[in-house]
Amino acid sequence: MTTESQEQKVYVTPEVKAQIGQGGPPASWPEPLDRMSLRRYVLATDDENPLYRDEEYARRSKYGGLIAPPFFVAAYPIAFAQIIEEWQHEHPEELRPGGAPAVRIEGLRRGVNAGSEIEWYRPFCLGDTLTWKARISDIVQRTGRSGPMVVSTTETEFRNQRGELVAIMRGSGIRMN
Amino acid sequence: MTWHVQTPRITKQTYFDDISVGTELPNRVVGPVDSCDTVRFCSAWETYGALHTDYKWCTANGYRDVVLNGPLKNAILISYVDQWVGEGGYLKKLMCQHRGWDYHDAVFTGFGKVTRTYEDGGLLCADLEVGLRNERDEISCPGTATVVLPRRGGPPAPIEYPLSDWGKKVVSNLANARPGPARSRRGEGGEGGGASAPAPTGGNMIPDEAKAVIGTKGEPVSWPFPLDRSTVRRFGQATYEEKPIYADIEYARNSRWGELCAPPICVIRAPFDDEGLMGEAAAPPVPIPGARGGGNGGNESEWFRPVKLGDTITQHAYLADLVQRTGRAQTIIIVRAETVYTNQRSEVVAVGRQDTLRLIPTPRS
Repeated sequence: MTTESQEQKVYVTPEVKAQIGQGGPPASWPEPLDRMSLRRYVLATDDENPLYRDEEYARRSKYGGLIAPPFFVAAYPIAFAQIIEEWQHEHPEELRPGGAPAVRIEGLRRGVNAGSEIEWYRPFCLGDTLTWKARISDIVQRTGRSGPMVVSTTETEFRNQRGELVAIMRGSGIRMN
Repeated sequence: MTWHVQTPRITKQTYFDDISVGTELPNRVVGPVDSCDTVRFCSAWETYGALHTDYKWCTANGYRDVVLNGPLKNAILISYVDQWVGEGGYLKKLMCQHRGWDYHDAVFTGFGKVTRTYEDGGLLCADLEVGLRNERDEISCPGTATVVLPRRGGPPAPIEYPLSDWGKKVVSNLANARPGPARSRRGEGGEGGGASAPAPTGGNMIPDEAKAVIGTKGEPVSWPFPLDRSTVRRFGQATYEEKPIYADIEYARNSRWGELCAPPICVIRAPFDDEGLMGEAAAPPVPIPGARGGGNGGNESEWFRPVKLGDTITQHAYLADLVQRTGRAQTIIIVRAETVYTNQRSEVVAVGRQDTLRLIPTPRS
């Protein structure tokens, strides 16, 4: 009886749904993508692609210069996480720039990362800066093996210094008991 | 998870008028220095040796935890003194010794005292005794420093200096040094060979082949790219740099420096290549049979001009000396390398001396 009533419990109430769309202001850091950042990233990921490490090769390519590996857009904001965290520490009431608030669901305590997807629209090139902005894009209830769970998705948009869309990342998290 | 600086930022200007022999520097507490901090430093410096990163390796090799990098402590000490002299002062020279191991979660307290004040060629100088005390109340990093300070109401200390006597000596020694034996790259054999050979017993433990390396130089090594913003940021984040000329590009460009500058530790400890080849590692290898290496004995550096975004530094090192200290349990051979740091205009920006320790256990009779 207890199990059944738990399965039927609705966690995604209208109040929870109302969190969709919430997100902090855009964040950016005026540090153009430079050689040293690229070098470290390709060393760390053992990426042999000359588009990311060979300036001569990249110049002769259709990109006309070095570009960042695809996943680098997700890494870029992390370099400035410390700076944003310090700002947040001094402004605890404000929404985190470049981030979305944690989805709050009464009664579901555990949280796990459920993965992410990225769509790329144009390369992130040497000398570019990025602005990123995140919002909660979806909250749905599902039933898993261990009972009810809520999947929330945060969508982050990355734009370059000309305002052009570079990538959209959708990361999902699961809340369960 | 990040640096925790427990005392307020030191932002006020120190004036020559306000100090005299015995004046104490306000303490600065940094720590606990945890694994995130060492990862950040190792990344800024591009050195990933197991001794400074790998808990399993460290405990399997007799260390009680991950050992903190000597240059990390050197950086904390440099930053401590550099902040005390403020924007209007100049950290000219700093020597630091490494007296023992520090491990993850160490808490350092910077301390210092003025030992001498004097005028030198129109510059207002002070010599300091400085150091880092760890959480066990041991002085793990004692040192000395020379700083230039402004007078209250007077002009700030210059940002460019002529070579000192020591600077001239190091530059001339390098010019006169003979090319030394080539250093093997990682994966091509050990530290100059000889590490597994039997140690000579008693008396002089420095073989003639090692002495022959004194006065020889290694290959010059240049930064892979001109100094860029992310490098300055990484060093700043790794050493909790708060001085705006190293952290705030707008401020720096409107200052008398005119550009974002590399913090002093970044000048002498910047990453050079995939193997983190730098400092003493850029001097010719020294074969010492039976010795295991290479504890960090300390370092002395003197800075002459700022390094700005776009600058490329070349360092060129020679083996200056080998010094033997024999104790009861072991003999320490101090491998002393001296380095000249020049920018792309061939201006000397700094000179340095690095002591690396080789240890030869005394055989039990």
